[in-house]
Amino acid sequence: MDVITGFDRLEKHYLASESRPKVGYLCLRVSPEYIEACGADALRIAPRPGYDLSAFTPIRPDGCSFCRSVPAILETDVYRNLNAIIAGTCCDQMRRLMDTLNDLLDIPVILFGAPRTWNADPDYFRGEMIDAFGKIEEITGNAATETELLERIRVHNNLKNSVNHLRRQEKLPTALLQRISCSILPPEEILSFLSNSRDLPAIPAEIRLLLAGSIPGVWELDVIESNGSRVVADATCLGDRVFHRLTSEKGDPVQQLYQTYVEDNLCPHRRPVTSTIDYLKNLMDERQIDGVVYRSVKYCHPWGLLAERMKKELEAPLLIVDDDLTSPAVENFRTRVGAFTEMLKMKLRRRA
Amino acid sequence: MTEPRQIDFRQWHRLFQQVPDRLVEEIRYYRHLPQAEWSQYLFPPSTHVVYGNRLLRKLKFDNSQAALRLWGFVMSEGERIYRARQAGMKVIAVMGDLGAVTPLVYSFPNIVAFYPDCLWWTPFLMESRELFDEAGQLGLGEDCCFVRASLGAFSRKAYFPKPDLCVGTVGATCDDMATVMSEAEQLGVDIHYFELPHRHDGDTDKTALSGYLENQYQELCRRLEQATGETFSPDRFRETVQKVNRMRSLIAEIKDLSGAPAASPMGAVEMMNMEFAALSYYGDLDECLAVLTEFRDLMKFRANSGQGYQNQDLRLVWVTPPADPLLMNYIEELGGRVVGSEYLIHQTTPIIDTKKDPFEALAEAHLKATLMGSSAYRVNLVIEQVERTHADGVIISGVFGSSHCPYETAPIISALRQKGIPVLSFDVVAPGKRRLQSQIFNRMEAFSESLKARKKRRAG
Ligand code: SF4
Ligand code: SF4
Repeated sequence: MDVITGFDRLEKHYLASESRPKVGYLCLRVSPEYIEACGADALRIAPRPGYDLSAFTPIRPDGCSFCRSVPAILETDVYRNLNAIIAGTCCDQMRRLMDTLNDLLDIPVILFGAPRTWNADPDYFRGEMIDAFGKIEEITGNAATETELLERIRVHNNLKNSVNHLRRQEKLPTALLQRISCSILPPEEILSFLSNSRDLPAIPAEIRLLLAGSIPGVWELDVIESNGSRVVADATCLGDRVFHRLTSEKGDPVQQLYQTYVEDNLCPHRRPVTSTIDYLKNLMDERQIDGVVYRSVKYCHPWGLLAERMKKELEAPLLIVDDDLTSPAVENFRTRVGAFTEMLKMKLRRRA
Repeated sequence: MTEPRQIDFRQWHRLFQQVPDRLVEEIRYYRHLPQAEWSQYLFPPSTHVVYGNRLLRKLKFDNSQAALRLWGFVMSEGERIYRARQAGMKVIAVMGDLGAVTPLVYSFPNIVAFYPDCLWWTPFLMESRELFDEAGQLGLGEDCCFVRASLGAFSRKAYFPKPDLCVGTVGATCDDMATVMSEAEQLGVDIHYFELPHRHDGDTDKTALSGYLENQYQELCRRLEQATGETFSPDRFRETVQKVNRMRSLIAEIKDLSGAPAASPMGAVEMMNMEFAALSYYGDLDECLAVLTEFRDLMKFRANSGQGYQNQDLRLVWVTPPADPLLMNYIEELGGRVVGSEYLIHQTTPIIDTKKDPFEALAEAHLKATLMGSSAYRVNLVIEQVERTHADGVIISGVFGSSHCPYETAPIISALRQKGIPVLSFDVVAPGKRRLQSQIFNRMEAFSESLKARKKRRAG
């Protein structure tokens, strides 16, 4: 049994036996630690195999294709019986998606304001975050105590450390990384899974790629990695960026979570966007990248409209592809990625 | 006064001969500067055609001098900003807030503000894709709103002078302009970011939100002090805000007059230009007030005397400003008149409290912003317009690829349908896409026919 199948099986088992309330969250501005400290399981909302591509969505076809898919994604087994959905205001479309979900669903849809700029007045935005999690506390009937928050921070830090370590050693495949990012499994379970799989061999890679861009769908990674190239760095919304920032275990835990998830968030909707670009550059240096696959979902403004700038800034061979999560063009994607990796291979051979 | 009519640019060219020279000399901007020929702006539309605004050849214009003055004032804005720079005034580019922060900017002496965002209609006016192509080369293609034209303008360096300061509002507003900002930064533009937090309509802690905005305004004030070398003066602020308030009241009054029962007293494009004066006062607050006052007087006269355009009986509310003004003329030809609007600029409507602390007053007014909150808030603004104006129907001219239209359109349509209000929704198409444009015209025709039939049925 390969590691991914093993992980999926573990998650399925957990889902079948779980009894705690289940809170879905969108994007990287939400702290799963906080949700867990409120006594709920935290489940990242992300494309899952089997969501209905043709399902009705009230969002027009020129809306972000991830946002358009969310109503169908929520229909898949994993997301059944959610007790609430929570998100911070990241991109404008996410803000509006929450409005749409509020109209569509019978569960609380909780949105909190999060700053676009850096070093914005923390008092206001921390208040927004606390109010939002207050609503989760009401739903679960469980107040997040300082002790519990600190404990969740500690466990998540352990997971982040472990993931980062394995990623640097190239022993944790990107497919598993993305699974972990949106898994409902508590970090303790994931940690024990990872330690049991410690004998994972280092993954050989002829071509070393950085995958950057919007939230991944369910098939793109397989296509990218199907011909001798490996995504050794993943800066998408389900990739290394999820784990890179540890939360301080000292001081007020709410403030520390605010710092990690709200203030230090490294998404391209932040202004100025230079910190996000610097993060990508560092990741590229650290993982010795040969090329970048820059994939955004259709009509994703933060990633999609930044593509040309990234091309200039990252100074590496870069392939820009966009992908419609509601109507995937798999063969077209395969051809373009295939041509790109062939080009990189030739380049490497020449250099050798 | 002549009977109200919509005329074309040739007719204006001829009619203009009757305008006394004295008046042409008198009507000028920047009256605080010595009299100079360059500051005159009362010209027929044909003059602006010469400068490349070719669409004017196809548009219909109101035949009054007040409307001509408004057109001249609007069309001379670009030139005015360059003149301001030559005259030593500070030039501030404001982006993304659409009219909320300009009262503060104008309360500094010797300053002028403009919105690069407003260049979104330039490709339409010029019937040229040049600015879109330029933006496309920098990465903003058709999946971004028409405001991408402003990035083209930043890059071309020929549409406005280099600003002394750029103020960019980001956060609970559209992402299209936020993208333009980050690309402009890449071109070397330094931006002071203004953070606009999300407003939870219903249960927001308005005091906390307002407090946050107050701090943003204070910070912006400090940046303006640095940029101008002047100290903020509360007295000057009050004086400026009194003028801004006067303008906002004038605009509200004119909007009310446009719904006059007897006949439409003004063209929809002129009305839109008038409403957009609230953004940056077209670069001259005092003159803008004079322009709007004359415009209001004319509207009042027409409304009170029952004068207006013939054969425009369908009362319509227009939602989201169309970058292509020709669409408005087209619905007028089909018997429509625009009696109400929701142009995403609700933040320019509140009267700013001059008795309060300046920053508190600005923050409070800002809280009324259209895009800052939920879609439901905007839906209510539209419904309010429909009910206030007794509209027969609504036209939504969406912006393809914008960050809000794909989400808001469905709830707006559904709320209108629930109220039994017919609605036509389409996306404005970029210049040069004739076939798509003609599809819109066909849909407008069908819509107006169905509204007419409905009206007839209702009248029994
Ligand atoms: S960041 Fe992009 S993919 Fe994610 S919600 Fe926003 S627009 Fe959609
Ligand atoms: S139309 Fe909408 S997306 Fe375009 S600039 Fe205006 S507010 Fe932004």
